[in-house]
Amino acid sequence: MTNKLRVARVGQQLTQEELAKKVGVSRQTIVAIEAGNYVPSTLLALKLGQILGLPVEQIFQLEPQDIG
Amino acid sequence: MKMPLLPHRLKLPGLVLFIASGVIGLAQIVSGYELPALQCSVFSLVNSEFLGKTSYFSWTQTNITATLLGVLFIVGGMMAGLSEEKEEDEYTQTLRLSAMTWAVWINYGILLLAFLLVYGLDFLSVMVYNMFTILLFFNLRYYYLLYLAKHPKNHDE
Repeated sequence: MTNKLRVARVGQQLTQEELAKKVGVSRQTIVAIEAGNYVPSTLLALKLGQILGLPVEQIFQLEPQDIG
Repeated sequence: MKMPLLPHRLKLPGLVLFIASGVIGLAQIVSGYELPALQCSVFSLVNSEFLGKTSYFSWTQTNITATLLGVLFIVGGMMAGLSEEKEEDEYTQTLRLSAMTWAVWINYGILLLAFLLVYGLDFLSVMVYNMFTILLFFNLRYYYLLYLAKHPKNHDE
């Protein structure tokens, strides 16, 4: 899975810390998601989409190997 | 899913207890030293004397130095690894779960090797010490993962 969280966050002029506070997680979590080291839960993905004003599938995309 | 965790305030005392009892416990294993003051009468559910009878629900005279260190190591290890982080969230829970899985792999790896390669009374020794490897490797791996998470290569703000 790939994501465009970093681009979406910068687009909203939010720092990692600010975004983390808005969705109720630690900054490390945002860093890990942006780096592709962590795939968030559906709940967190939906929260991120809501805060950033984007559909979830615009932030997170499946890769061919995810589909099998 | 909410994990059953201890409050964050227990983390630091747990770490201190875990490290101190681990170091002292290791020295105790190597030296075999037992504090004379800890020779006392304790209640036992089951007590088997060497080549003797087995008694149930009885009082027995023993030195509890190793017992005390073992209890402190277990309590300290659980407090250190199973207390909430300052900012507990789903990512830290994933790290904790990953570390626990890693520790179980090592624990059963050692057990499997012991089954295949160690015989006689030494097998019991390996079994006893292996009881502590889950807590030890869980905490080592968990704090390593936390360190990596807190010191990322790609952080920008």
